[in-house]
Amino acid sequence: MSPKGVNWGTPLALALLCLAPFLSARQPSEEALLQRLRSGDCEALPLLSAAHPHALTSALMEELARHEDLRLRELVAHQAWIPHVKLREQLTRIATLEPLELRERAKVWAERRTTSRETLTRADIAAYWASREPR
Amino acid sequence: MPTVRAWILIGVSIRAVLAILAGQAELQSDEAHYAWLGLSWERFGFLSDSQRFLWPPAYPYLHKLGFQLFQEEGIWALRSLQVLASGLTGWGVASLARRLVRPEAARWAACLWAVHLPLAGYCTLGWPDSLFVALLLPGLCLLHDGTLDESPKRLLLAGLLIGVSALFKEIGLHISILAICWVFLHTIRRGAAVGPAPLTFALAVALPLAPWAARNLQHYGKPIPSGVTLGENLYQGWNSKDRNFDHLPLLRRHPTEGRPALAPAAPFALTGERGWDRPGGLTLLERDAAKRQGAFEWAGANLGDLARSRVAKLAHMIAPTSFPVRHIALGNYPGLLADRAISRPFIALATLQAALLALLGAAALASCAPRHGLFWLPTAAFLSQPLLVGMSRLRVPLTPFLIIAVAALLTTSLDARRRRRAVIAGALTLGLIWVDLESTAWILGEAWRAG
Repeated sequence: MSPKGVNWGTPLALALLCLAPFLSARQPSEEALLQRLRSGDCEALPLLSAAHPHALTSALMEELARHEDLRLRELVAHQAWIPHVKLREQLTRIATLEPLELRERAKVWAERRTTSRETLTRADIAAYWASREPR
Repeated sequence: MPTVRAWILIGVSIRAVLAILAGQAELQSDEAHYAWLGLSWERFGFLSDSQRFLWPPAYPYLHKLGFQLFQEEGIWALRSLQVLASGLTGWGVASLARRLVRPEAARWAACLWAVHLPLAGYCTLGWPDSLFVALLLPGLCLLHDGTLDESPKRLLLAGLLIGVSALFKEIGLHISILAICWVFLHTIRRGAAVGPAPLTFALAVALPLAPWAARNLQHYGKPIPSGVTLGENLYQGWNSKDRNFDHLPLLRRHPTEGRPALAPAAPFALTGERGWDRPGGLTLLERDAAKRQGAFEWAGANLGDLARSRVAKLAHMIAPTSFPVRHIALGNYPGLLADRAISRPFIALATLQAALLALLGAAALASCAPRHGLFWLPTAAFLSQPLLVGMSRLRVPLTPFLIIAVAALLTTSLDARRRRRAVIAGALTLGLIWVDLESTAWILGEAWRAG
């Protein structure tokens, strides 16, 4: 114990707290991630994109574009598919999305993505929110 | 003269009025990207990288939170948070001036912070800089006090604030590392044993970064503690074309034919030849590594261009313009700030303040700025940004430290030697303003005619 009341317990506790998040931080397998994605866990997409980029194929995109979960269909338009799937293929797939409202919403993700010079506008955000399905 | 508390109130009020006058401005460049990331996070439950870089997560997270709580109005709620949080910046500026300069400097610092329109104007914009400095400055104050009395609570809080600031801007990570080194060196120089106090600070810095680093370890196989932006910045800044982000969006609005050919003064302008293209790569880290390699190859082959363009980048950073003025020129403000009756006085005053702060700030840094690690470490880090890229926005986190330096200048009587150093620094700064004069004058002209 130091004169000011600082003891080694404080840094020790902080060190344990810092280490805790790393205990479960393993890269999941490709199969596990694909299963998670198909079951509706959208977060599997950026994990696949970063850790198993070859798993992101046109066939998978096509499969998700017909998924019963609306959110997964919308996810087809996310920029995380690029460059593993070509933008032209993605745009072609988006053009087939149903219903029409979802297709329009999906365009926000594809056309206003962060590498596009055509960036998100206030009008895009307003239109996007107006077309959200009830939760 | 009003008290520090009164100046903080005045400063926050000025920022609130500016935010009201600005209205719900159209999103520009990175503002739109942050909103896109926040909207995507809210919708799909994850933050993705931006393909060319990975930004620290805090600002996109606040966008996500804003969308969750206020739906499409979330972006404007975040601007309001920036206005409120600016009070912390004002407090931090005054407190650091009191601690590192002298008590009477605190009022000057608070006053200069309150009325500095370029800084105030950033609260109306969607960049993380305002919130970053609102965390960093109080963190540095607490760190200063914590190292004096070895208060574990202060050191813990200082570490948390500085650590969280690194989740807003990557340069916060570099400052965090410098601050940790400073704390350990400070302890050793005092002849004290390195005990739990400095370790508490270091681990408190690491605590907010740990979950994000662990997440990145899972995603990228690498525990990235803040962001991955070096490769893209090198691509933009170590290349044959001079990219000045203050005038680029304005230029792009003009038809290709008839666009003014803006460039820094001839000795510092690049020809645009021998450039390199942005390389591809399957993953973010591959792309980032390829860009770093491309940049180092270019630099190795063009050392003269690299050196000359650093002067231009520094000139871009201190040019007396700002993104709020650029927003006026772009016609992005739908509110009264776009009205000439308000925009023109704003442009004139903001330009004058920016130029004066650059000149006096440089003079103060060279003559009487506080000789303290907690002042110079962040100041040096912010001044070194043009080693990569240059634009007036990079001045935002530097501005509070320039204000503190000017407050020192206003409360110090300089001897002949210091006066000489101040004059030389001021003259060099004038030279830098001249380097970018063509571009600055064009931006100001565009803003003046807008509205």
